[in-house]
Amino acid sequence: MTEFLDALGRHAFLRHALLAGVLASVASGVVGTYVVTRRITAIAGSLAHAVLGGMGAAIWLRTVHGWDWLTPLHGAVFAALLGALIIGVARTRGGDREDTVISALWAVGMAVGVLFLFLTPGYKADLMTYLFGNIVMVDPETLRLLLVLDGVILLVVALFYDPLLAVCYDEEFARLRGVRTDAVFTLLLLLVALTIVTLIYVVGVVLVIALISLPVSAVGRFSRRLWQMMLLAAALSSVLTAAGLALAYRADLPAGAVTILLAALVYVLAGAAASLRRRA
Amino acid sequence: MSAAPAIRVRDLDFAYGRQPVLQGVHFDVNVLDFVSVIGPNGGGKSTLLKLLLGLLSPRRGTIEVFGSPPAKARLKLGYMPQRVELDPRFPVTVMDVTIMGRLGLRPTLGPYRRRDREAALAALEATDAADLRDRPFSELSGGQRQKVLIARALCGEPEILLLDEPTASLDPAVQDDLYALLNRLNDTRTILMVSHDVSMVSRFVNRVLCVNRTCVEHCVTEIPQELALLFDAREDLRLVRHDHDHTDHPPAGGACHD
Repeated sequence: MTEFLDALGRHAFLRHALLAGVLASVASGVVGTYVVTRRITAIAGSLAHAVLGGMGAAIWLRTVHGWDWLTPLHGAVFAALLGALIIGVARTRGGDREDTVISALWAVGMAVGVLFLFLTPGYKADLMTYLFGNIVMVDPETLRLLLVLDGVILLVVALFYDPLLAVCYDEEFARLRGVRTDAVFTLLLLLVALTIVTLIYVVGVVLVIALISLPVSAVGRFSRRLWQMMLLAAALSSVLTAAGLALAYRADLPAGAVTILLAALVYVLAGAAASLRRRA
Repeated sequence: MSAAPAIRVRDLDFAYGRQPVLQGVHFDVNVLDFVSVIGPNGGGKSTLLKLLLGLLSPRRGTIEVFGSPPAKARLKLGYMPQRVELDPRFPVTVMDVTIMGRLGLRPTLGPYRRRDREAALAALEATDAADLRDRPFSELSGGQRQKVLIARALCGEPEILLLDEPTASLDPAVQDDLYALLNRLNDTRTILMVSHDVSMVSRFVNRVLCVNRTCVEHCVTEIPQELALLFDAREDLRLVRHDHDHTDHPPAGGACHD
């Protein structure tokens, strides 16, 4: 532990990584609470994978066409928001089966990403980074973007907390009370999209869904109200990403994978603790 | 104005795809009526409720709630769904659930105001559930949950309460308690209640609509003395004449047919 604290003092990249973990945890604790209670982890998984398409396109435009201002994270934001709108519209219009749209988005996004990365010279190695995360690649510019995303997410949740709660708990009743539930649900999907982007460097697109759902589910057994669940999940997630980073640094392992396994362990322990408490 | 019906349904047809569910439904609900909607499962009771709420649109015919289409009159309706449709693991307290009834009466942005919290508390007091307000909704008993869901419908200040099986799966003592509560609420509000119980309805109900593809009104009369003795003289019994044929197309129309 002291060794890691020592390293934190010496290496800026570790401090950036730690901060990125906390920023991502705030977003995923808050928005993950909606994802878990509204049971839309499949949509979150789909958006997470679709993000790869946007990242691939951004890297290709930047490298091949010289769009230097465009970062992979910008592409991720664009793809995630677009995906959220597509699912929102598919759900509202009800033209096709919703889960077909969700699966298609999942696969098409990844296919687009892989093709663009294939067409971009010298970028093949980066695929692993985007799939499984590389938290030590976070630079100050990325941190600034994460900070903006967190600010937007928290502001929207603060303004729409009550209608979001009502739509997640009882959508039909909310509609009968005059709430524009389709618009509120699409807003929720946009929040999920932005949250996914904050998690890309921390755990990568493949593992995002675990960090959105596991900490929330672990604290869910101990929360009576939605905002308590958000606070506890954000705190637990921060501890998990920090611990994952420290462990990974010490053992020289990929931080994203270590963090996910820690989250799964805590989730199982929380379940065991809850069932012991029920029996007592 | 007071003579205008609260709900007016004329020549209503509804079908899911090609499967007709309701045909030629025709009735009025007057202000301060307490109507029980009975009928077999799959007979169209809940569908009728969803049509009255404007969640479904009629294929033919009209529905008016205080003279407006249902979707425009929604805020005058207080709806209590069947509780089976709610996620029991959702982290909400009784107060969180009740105050949702205020959603139509406040701006979409920002938190509930003090006025909303006071109205929610008053509604919980009206249903004898105020002492439950900080309890997790998932820990309540069946009867307590029904009271909270009625309070949620109430705190939106509706003129008509639409209740979907409010006494389903409750033991008889709790059912009586709930009927007494609805009777009190009926002093100031029109109530339309879907009931699972075909044979017996509370003495507080003044009209009974039987829905099975079409809709027939039954007369509610005092129970004859001899019959009352047979039923152990339970004073909440009343007789509902149920003498139309469910297997064939029963005669349409809103008049009592006895």
